[in-house]
Amino acid sequence: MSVTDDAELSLWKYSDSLGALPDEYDGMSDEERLKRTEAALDELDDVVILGHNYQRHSVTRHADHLGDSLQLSRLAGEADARNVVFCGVTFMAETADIVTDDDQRVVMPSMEASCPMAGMAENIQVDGAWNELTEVVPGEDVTPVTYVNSYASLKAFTAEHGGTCCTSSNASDAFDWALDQGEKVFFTPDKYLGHNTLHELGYGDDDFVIWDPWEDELGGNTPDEVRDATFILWEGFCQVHERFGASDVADVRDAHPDVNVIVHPECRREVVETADYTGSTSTIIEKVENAPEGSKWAIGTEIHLTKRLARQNPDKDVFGLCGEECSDCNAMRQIDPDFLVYVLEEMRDGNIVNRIQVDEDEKRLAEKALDTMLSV
Amino acid sequence: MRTEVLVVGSGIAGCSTAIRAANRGADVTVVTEATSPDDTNTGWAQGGVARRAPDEDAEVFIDDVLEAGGGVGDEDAVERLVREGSRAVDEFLVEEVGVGFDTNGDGFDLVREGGHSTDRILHDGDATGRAVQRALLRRLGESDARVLEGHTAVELVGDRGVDGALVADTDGEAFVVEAGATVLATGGVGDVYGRTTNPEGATGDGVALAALAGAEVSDTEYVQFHPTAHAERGFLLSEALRGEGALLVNEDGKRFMPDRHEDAELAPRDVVATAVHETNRDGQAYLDLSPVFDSTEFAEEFPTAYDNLTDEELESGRVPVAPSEHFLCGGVVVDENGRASVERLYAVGETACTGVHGANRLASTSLLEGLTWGLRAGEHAAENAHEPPAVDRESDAFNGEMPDGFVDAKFDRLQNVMWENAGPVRTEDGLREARAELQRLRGEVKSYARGRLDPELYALRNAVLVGLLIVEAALENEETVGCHRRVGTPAED
Ligand SMILES: Cc1cc2nc3c(=O)[nH]c(=O)nc-3n(C[C@H](O)[C@H](O)[C@H](O)COP(=O)(O)OP(=O)(O)OC[C@H]3O[C@@H](n4cnc5c(N)ncnc54)[C@H](O)[C@@H]3O)c2cc1C
Repeated sequence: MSVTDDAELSLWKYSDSLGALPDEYDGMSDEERLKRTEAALDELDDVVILGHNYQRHSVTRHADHLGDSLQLSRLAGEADARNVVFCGVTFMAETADIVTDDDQRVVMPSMEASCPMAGMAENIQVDGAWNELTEVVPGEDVTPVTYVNSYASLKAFTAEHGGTCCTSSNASDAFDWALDQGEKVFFTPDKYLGHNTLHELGYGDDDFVIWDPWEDELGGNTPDEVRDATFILWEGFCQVHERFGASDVADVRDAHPDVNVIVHPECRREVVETADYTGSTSTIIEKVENAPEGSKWAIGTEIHLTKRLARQNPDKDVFGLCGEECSDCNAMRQIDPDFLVYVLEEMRDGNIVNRIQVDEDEKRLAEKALDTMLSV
Repeated sequence: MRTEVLVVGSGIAGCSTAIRAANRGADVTVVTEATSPDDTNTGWAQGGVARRAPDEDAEVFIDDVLEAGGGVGDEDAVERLVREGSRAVDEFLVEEVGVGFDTNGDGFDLVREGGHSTDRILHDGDATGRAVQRALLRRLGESDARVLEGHTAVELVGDRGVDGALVADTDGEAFVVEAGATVLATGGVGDVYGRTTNPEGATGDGVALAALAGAEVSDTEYVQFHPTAHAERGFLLSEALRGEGALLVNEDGKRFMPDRHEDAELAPRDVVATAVHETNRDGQAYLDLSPVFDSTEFAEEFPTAYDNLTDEELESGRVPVAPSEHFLCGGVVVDENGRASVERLYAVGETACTGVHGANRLASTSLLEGLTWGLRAGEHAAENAHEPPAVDRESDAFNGEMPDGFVDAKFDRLQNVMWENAGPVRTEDGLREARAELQRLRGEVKSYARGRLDPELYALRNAVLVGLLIVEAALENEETVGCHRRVGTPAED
């Protein structure tokens, strides 16, 4: 395996598929895996493979399309293939299931590819928080805004309470829209994206509270603090982006005085403040692609995207904002190329394994929250 | 740190292993989370230790164990338990360790429990485990074994086989203990269910660590539930109370056992457990102790129960009960010397699956099992443990921020899923749902545990994995056997 392909960084010494994968898939050589994947695909004509930007090369090489979560959902919606193999994390596959037709089937190579940030806002907690919150302020004054990086059930909650979804590129539009609906925004599940967005809109640190669901009362706030806040930000964050610190930006500037630092808005405020540019994955890609030859770019996002950018822009110097170990998404890693062969071969043999199916009611509501997003 | 034999856990299985290996001249290190004798399942055992009664034909005892196990136990293993184990009780527990079991005029005071065809159980009041655990720790302290208390094994290390463990202290500092042999003696899985008779911290670490190292794990669907634990505070209200006349009633005070079984409150454990479980589905089952108050000197005969009940409960005699996770029959598959299917790895005690229990455990045989296989593993490891190889393993912990209470919230979720779907009564649909939920949860938790050396997160990671192993096994086994109860017809695919 070449080093530029994949960041093979695992804390785990042992493979831990533990029965999720039949033994015959153990210890395949790279060539064998490649051959089997391609052979299965040759026999399958009704399948589309979607790969997230954060996936490793040995997975994305088989993808029909690459993109960020929203691009991929859109592609899934447009695809007419009966089977959609989604190489990303659970919430994305759920979104794909929501936007595809009823006879299309969305399958994930591994059921363990679940985004830890999405897991930080479970409905049982959010429902509880909403009940508590609306005892202090009238429910009609609060509009939920939910980042698409969340489970379908949370999107459904959002629609039920008149809110909208947003992405990292349209969060400020969503906040504006929500503030037209009422006085307050209840934002889940990413506190850093919320924090960065409210600053973008000219609000400051006096205008928000953090709602920590693991606190006993009002997310760790007093009733007055909640009443005074315009934004209520859920205590959740991305494991990868949270690891970047202002010191990483300072270090990279020391080492490369002419560097451009571009980071994702899921990073901490201090990182966004000290970076040169902030933008969603597609913005980062665009910016680097259009940059002058010879320019230097330190990228503050998941390492596989950074590596792909470096590969695709050999005329520029592109590298990660901190070491590889610190910016590798463990959830995305769960999509092992062995799992991909497995689901494809099963599919070829007529077995649909690891299907993601969102409950019908939830689907309807979640779709509404996504539609609202497209209209704001 | 380097050692010849690394023992993880200090219950009866870990102590027996360590004491025996040290006595055979091995350099032994015990790593244990426990900081007090009350931190182990061993310390909490009530009834006693079964051993072949004087003049008893071993076959009778063997048949009792096999029959309790639903006929699927391993006969060789049971034979070893009965013959060799019984000797070990006398020669090791009594003579070498000095446990003082209750005696009467003719020698040891022997009692009988459900499923035993004769009086053969040694005990110390109703707190046998306390005496056993304390004596073992005393003896361990006198041996040459090094004991690291309050330390947690968070990962096994090694390439082809196991060469020790990564160990964390309470401050989150971690170091590798390189070992020629590694013995997992980490006890039960109570925290996977939440409602349990086990002390806190029973997260099935050994089962999870072994599985992660590629060792075979089996029979995990056989989880024994005690029918009458306190519904809120978890402690056990022993069968003996029902033996003395305590009744099971619903919210309206109406008895629900007579309709279900001719022996009513004294029906077999799994029948009572299912009845209590189902009553609690839409209400609350109570144990009515008033008949026992009338017929006994309660405080003297049931001191443990007496101490655990509130004044109000002692007044009214009504105690809310629920089935509780009690014992894992399966676990890490081991041979007659406690060796797992991965090189240089051993498992003993509740963590191991020796084949003794089959699909259900006969009362008072688990201490005996931990003792028997502990001594064997200690002997074998001492003889075979070579100088450990140097393990090259850098610590790449970031110890990033983690919201307080996060682990608790995820444990709640795990426990709800397990209790609802993989508890005393299981359905195909429920198990499938649980599997999907747990896979998702496992994915999330792995991400959090990665790069953080917080033992609590590792405990969560292990518990989720053990939950998944229980669910997978329960799905695969469509028969109701022993303590594994499947209801409903499998859904058409
Ligand atoms: C309330 C109750 C009553 C019981 N009554 C009886 C009875 O009457 N008779 C009978 O035979 N059995 C009884 N049992 C069952 C029996 O007590 C247990 O099965 C047995 O004690 C298990 O012994 P063990 O050595 O395997 O584990 P334990 O005694 O549970 O010891 C486990 C040890 O491992 C340590 N540990 C766990 N994880 C780690 C880690 N990651 N790193 C380091 N250390 C770790 C723990 O701190 C502890 O020291 C009872 C159980 C309970 C809960």
